[in-house]
Amino acid sequence: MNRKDQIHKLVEEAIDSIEHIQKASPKPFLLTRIDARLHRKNFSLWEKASWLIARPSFAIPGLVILIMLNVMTVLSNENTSVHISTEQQSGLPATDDFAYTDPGIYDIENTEQ
Amino acid sequence: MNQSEALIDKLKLGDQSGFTEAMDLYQDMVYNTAIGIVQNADDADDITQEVFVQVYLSINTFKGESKLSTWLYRITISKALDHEKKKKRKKRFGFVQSIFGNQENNHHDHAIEFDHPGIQLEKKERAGELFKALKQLPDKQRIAFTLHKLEGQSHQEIAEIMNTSLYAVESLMGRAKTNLKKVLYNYYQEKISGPIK
Repeated sequence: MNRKDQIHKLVEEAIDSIEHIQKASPKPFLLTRIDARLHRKNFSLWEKASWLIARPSFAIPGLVILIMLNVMTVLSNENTSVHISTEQQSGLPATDDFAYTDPGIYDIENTEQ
Repeated sequence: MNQSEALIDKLKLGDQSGFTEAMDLYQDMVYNTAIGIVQNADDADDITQEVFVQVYLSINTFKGESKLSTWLYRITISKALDHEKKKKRKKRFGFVQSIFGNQENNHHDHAIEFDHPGIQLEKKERAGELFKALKQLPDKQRIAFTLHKLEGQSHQEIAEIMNTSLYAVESLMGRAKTNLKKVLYNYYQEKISGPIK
């Protein structure tokens, strides 16, 4: 038998080696191990939450929303401070300071009479 | 209602006996498929656990359009391939760390020949070489070959599991065999003629 034939024979032997292979089985007590894994999964809810928050698809939009909220708050505060400062400069009290128009419990009773 | 539908109903209701029944029926199938793909008994055991946890958690998403076994095969294959990817990533990370001098993470993960527990003793050496060659095939060819040879699935069943046509499976099997023969031929050629100097 020449070398080429010898190699071909080995190849065929290798291909045929898994014919009539018997099925492999997992180690015993698989159910117990799965049960333990399921319990571990149930208890690691915080882990799941932190994993979700850390994901870029969640973290980046979250960060953008947070920055936008901050910018909006800063801008609205700037407008209010400009409004207050102009009132203070004019020397007149802000009209809203004395405008107490909320109906109290007594007003309701009076209207009923 | 047939036996399989009754089992699915039990699983959907969260019945413990249904889960035990499913495990008794399918644990060998899941483990055998996983071990054929990852070629490591501990990893296959880990994947088997993951598959059944997934079944428990997402049985309500199972629409019953395919057989329960087909669904289980799909989960097993997906988990096994994910597991391999993670392992490769870890290995690459370990290699990068070893370059930067962290010797602790320098795993000596040399290619160890896989010893499938279901192989007859006299065929173990050749089977080990075949499994080693199998690792070099593209995923789809490897999956088709594993399902056919280790699980004894017909081409039609493989087509259902892999969500493809019968023709595609036949083509995959043909290419898998050709590629395996090529890889093995080169391996034996090198082995017989000795190390290249």
